[in-house]
Amino acid sequence: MQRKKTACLEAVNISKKFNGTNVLTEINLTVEKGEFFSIVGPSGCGKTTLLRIIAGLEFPDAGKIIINNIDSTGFTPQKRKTGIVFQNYALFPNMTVYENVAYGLEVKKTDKNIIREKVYSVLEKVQISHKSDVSVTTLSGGEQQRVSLARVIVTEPDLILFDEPLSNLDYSLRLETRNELKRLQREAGITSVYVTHDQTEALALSDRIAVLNNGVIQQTGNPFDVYYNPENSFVAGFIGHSNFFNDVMSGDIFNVSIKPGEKLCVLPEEVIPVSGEGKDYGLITDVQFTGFSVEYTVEIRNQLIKSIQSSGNSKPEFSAGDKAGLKLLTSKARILK
Amino acid sequence: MNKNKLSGLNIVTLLIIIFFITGYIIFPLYSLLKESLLNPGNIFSFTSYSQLFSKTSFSATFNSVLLSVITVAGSGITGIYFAYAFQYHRIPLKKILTSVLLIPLATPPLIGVVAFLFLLNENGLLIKLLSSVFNLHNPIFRFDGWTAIIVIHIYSFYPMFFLFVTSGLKKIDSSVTDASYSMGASRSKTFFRIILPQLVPSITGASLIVFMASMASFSAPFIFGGSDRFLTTEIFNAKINGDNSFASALSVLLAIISVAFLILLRLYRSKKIITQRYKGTPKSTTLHPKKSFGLFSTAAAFIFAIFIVLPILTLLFLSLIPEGSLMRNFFGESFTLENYSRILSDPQFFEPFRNSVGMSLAAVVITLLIGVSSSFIITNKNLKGKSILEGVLSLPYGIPGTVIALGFILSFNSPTVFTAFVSLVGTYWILPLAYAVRNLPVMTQSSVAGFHSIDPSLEEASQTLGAGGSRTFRKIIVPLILPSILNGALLVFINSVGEFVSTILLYSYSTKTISVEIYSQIRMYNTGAAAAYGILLFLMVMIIVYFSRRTLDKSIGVV
Repeated sequence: MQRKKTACLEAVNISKKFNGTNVLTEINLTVEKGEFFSIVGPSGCGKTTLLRIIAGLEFPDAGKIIINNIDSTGFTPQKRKTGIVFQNYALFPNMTVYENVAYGLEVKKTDKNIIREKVYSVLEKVQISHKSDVSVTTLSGGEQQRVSLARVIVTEPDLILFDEPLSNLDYSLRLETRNELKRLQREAGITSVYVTHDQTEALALSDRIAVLNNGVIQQTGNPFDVYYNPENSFVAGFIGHSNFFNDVMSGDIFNVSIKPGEKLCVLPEEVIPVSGEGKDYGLITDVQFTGFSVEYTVEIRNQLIKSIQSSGNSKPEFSAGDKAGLKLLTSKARILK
Repeated sequence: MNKNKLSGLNIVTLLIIIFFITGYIIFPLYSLLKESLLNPGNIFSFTSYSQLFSKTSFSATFNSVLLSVITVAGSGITGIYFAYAFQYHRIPLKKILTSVLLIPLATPPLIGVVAFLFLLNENGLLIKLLSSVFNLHNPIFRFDGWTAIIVIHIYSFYPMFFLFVTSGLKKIDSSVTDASYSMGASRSKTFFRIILPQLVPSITGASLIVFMASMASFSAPFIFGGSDRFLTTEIFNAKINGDNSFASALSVLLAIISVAFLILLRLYRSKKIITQRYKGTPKSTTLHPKKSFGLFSTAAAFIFAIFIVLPILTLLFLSLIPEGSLMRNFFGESFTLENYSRILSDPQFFEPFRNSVGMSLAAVVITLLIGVSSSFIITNKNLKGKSILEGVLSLPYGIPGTVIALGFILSFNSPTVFTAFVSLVGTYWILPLAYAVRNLPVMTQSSVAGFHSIDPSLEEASQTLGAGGSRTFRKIIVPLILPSILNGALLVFINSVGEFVSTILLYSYSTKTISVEIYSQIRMYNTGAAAAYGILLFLMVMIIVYFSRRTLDKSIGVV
């Protein structure tokens, strides 16, 4: 019960249907105050719908949304103290940067001087104060992203909701903004719920992660747990890109015996191609050097196995077309049903 | 905003909209249909429809359709050629030339017709000039009938193709044509195999619109038609001869043909949404390195630009020559501003001006009220029968002005509930109401486009920042749709201020408009006065277009 007092957001048995199809089924999750919580899953898994239900932009067919111990299920978005950072930023094109950020405070009838002070302080924080009087339509994607974040932070919401905020940025800007986001969140200490389909992003940013598939939560836990102790093969595949071996292959290749119907689940970095006597049962079909790592694809019994090894300042040992076997690098390989 | 719930205000608005469209769109059409089914003794009969099969009616229908087909072909070839040339060839002064080539788009149809009349008829400026240069006694060619109508139609309608095809060409990624060239295809092969197929939607859209416009065209056949019969002029003649029933039957026929094309246009538009999208922003086409063809296009564009401005210049020239002197001497007269000063100082001459502007403003207000509120309900509410509302609102787009005017006469020559129990025929208000009905689709479409262009997440962002429905509407929605609505309002004004087709049937002596005044001055051979009215009208429209373009370009940011 101690834990419950610090919960900022609780979703209890949330279900939602669209045109007779279950989009969300009995979702339960709790987000602690100050926590960075991610909801990750493939596109179409229902994560954006869940976010919109938390914000009050959609209403659940069943279940409750509790924000700061207040049942907010029937509340309109205006009544909830939640802010959203939209995927397309949703900046008001008819306003300047300053006006966009001031909007939420004007709504609350805040004093003009206080608005000014707060807006500039936030713009300073996201490093865009030099463009305060510029129309938002002239900003670059990264800048729009920062204004959109500033617009939410300035209202000091109980909860910030992020709807894939980095997906419209290019790769290097995405990494940069990711670090920036983490820093701002830590400094402001605002509870965040972050929706993404990018599992690396979720792992890097979050205190805890919920993995969602087909409207059902597959696993909730800290990034380490979700990565190393997946509860089912969907989580293992989606978060860790794991390789799966059935009982026959597991016994034949790694000498690990598991029951029929079970699967041995091996992360790409836990398996390495090897050569030598009696080990040419596989075929290297692809070798990709990415700089810090080498990614091998090995075909064994019509199954493609991924192996990723740090490149370690030497040329890849194998090239495509080579015969090779596999060696397990861990003693803690997971067995899943 | 809850899409399914209608507030009290919504319901009142909806009732007003339904009242308006029932009274001013559906009721006039119903009156037409009823009238067409009555014989002179007010007894139900198909007599008027059997008359449609007479030789003269059949030839009028045939002529109208044939004229429209020729107009579509002629404007299509002209418009596509110039759109292509302007996109792919090096042509100097492209920007200015483009504005010149688009002049006919904003020119009231009657002005174009009158300008051509003064340039090319037997006593036309160019004909007289050529006769005096070559010392001929007879005019070197006759500009009337089919030739005249087709030339004027192409002049007025080709900009549709030019605009549609230009926007179509802009959507074609240059990498596609580059790919074709790099595989060794010639320019013409690339045009016919790669570019033209991608333009099919643009060309189809423009063709349907031009076909409808040509079927509905009245001014050119009315002035140049001579003994050739067309549906619109036949309706007018039947009405003037007092045969309302036959005029109605002809109107029903014309309306059916036009509405059929309107339905085709709507079907095509709904299909067009599912077009292929390129990943990333399509690069607009680069110029082809070979520029030899640019010379020919440049010459063509300049000659065509002269063809566009020559009629207008003729008007300007004639407006500066005092009344009566044209008959005696031709180029020897000195220019005066007499015609203009009379229009602007003599109250009797100024009245048509006041009427046209006042009526057009009234039409703008009516279309704003009905059009904007309808488009709000169409885009923001889930309503049963919404598509019916949309359909009825777009109906006047397909119904020729002649038909609408006749419907109005038949409906409002006696008091009705829709007109506050007053007979509207002969009054001032019948004209702005007719203009409003004719332009309702324009207004509705531009404000629907405005509402559609707003990203729904903007409204959501405003809500999550704590703003209520009314603040969101005032601070976010209204500023964003304002440019589209303003644009619609200006179009309504421009279309109304020079309107001739329905005015000629609906005006009375005290409600003469500029267009009617121009027509009656021509009939009195007061060329100078007619030309001066024409130039004033033309200038008014052009100034509005110029300033609205400038302000709209500024206010619509890149969203």
